[in-house]
Amino acid sequence: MILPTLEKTWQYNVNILGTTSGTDKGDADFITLAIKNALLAFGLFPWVVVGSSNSVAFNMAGTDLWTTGADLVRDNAAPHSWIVLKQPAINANTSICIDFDHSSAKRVSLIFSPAAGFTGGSTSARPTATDEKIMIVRDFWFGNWAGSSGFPLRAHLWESTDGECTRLITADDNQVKGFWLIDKPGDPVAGWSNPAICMATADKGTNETLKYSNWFNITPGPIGAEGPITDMPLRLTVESQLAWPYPNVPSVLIEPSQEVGICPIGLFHNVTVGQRGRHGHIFDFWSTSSIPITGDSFPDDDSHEFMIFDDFVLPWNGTNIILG
Amino acid sequence: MALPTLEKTWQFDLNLQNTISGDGAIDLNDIFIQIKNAMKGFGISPWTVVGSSNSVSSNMAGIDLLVTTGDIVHAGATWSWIVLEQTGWNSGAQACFAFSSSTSDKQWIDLVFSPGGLFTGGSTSARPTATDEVIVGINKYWISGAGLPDRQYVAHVMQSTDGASTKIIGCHDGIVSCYLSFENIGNPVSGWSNPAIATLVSVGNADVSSTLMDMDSWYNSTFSPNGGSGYGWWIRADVTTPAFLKVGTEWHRNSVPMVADNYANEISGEYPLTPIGLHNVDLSGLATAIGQRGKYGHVIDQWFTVAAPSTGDNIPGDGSKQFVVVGDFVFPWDGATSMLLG
Repeated sequence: MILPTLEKTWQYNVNILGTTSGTDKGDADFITLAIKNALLAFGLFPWVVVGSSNSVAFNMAGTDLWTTGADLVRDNAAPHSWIVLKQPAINANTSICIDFDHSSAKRVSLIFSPAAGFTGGSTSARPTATDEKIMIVRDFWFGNWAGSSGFPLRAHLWESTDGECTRLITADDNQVKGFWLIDKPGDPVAGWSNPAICMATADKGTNETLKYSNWFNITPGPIGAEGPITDMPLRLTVESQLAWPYPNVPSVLIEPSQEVGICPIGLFHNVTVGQRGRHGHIFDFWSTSSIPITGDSFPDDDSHEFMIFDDFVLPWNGTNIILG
Repeated sequence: MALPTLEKTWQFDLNLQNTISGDGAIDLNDIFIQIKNAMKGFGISPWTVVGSSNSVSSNMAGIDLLVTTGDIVHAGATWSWIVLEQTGWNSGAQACFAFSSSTSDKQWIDLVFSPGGLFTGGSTSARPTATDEVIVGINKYWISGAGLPDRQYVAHVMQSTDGASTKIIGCHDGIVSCYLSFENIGNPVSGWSNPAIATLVSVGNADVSSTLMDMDSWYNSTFSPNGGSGYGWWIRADVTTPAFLKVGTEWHRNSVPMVADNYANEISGEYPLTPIGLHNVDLSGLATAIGQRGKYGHVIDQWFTVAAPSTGDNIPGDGSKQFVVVGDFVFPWDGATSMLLG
């Protein structure tokens, strides 16, 4: 297949290296702060802090209380840490809330607000949003690793230079563990006010996090979004033939060229009458064959223009990827 | 869904109609000649005649001998054929239409193409042949369906201005009775030396079009490539071994193309238009040759839509007539003409 043409230009902060502190909390705190700081540091359209809690104090006045590992306190009821970040380039108040509402350093909750934005909150309760979509609930975003095992966590972040698309991959032990995508969709259907989507998952098992079977054919749909009527979970669409989802995961290559297929991904809702239909596509994000493995890249000439993560393809910055 | 951006600019010769002569065979010959003349008559990149036979004489010197309905003669000892060439179709591919079926089967036609434009030979008793020829169909129904009733046929011929794509829709009695195409495909896979296809789909002896242009028929091969009773659906391509290609499009779950959920987008009110890929996969028991499998490209300026709109409806529904619905397919349209179906 001819390589796809990028719709966006991209800023990268990839191969972020964690630390091997010897403790779960030490490892988790280090990589968490690195990810948050990376989101705030993109040169063009960086994410901004709406508010935060370090379990001792909280605010919704834009102050970042997450400075050191000591500010990251985890608990499911008692005072704990959370942070709300927003990306105004998607919609004015498109936000995510990262909530440490579990005592384990390995777990996190992720809540997405497509348009309304978060309000309220305290040291013991995260802010809420009228349109919030709970994407990850107290789950392993770097897998169920052990800090004593001595291998570093990794994070890879992308943001389009217009701020409309952000992606995060978390990895450890040479495997993709977590994935977040917070985007304005491509070609959103007319009449969909404030289009925004969130695709997020915690660890789904070895080489499974971005396996097509965990994302396609999912009811009602794995993508968080708000429609004109109500919650509008979106399904992923892709070109197929009778042998689903040919050609993305064929048993063979495209044999004349010995290439694998790379297919764009659409967004479709088929649940709530009044807002059903195809509503757009995901920018610069493709499905591919299961033949290549995570860390392989397209084209096969060491230019690393596109990187494979399980059954999906993302733009890449030409470097060698390090997963663990 | 936003209207698609056309990959090509198009020329149209629409609503071609035969004279109802009182003789079904003459009606059929009349509409064939009109289609052939439309192909030759486009203002930009028209088809040219390589040679022809009217059963009395033949040539490969570029002379069109199929001028009147009487020049189309089905096989007895001699018969008619014509070879047309299109420089924009794989840099000079050729299509041979021949009438080798017996005089009792005047509703049939032969369609063979040469991706390299290599037809040679031929006589009043044999069509030309090409070393790379791909047989789309021999003795196949095309526009008529069963029998040869005296009837009104309507044909719609469209061709991209670069000649890379020619699409023909044939109709009678309010139905679409055949579809032909001669075209390059979009984004052909590298390594495919002749990325050209030809299609012949017809209702055959059923005389109804309930499934002819339905998406399911094209996916599921309701119309077998081996086409019993002289009908069939055929997208033929020249690979190492001539291949039958199948279509693919955007699906949202296993076994369910997106447009199978038969509704317009409920937020915008727009019908979905999904691009059509071409796949070389096993087809109705015809094993695809190992080494040739995979997605090959896409059909230029042709889409699937939901079943809700009717054949002849235009998209968008604002009178601009930019696209026309034919079964579950959508084609470019000329912006002015109402589609007649016979």
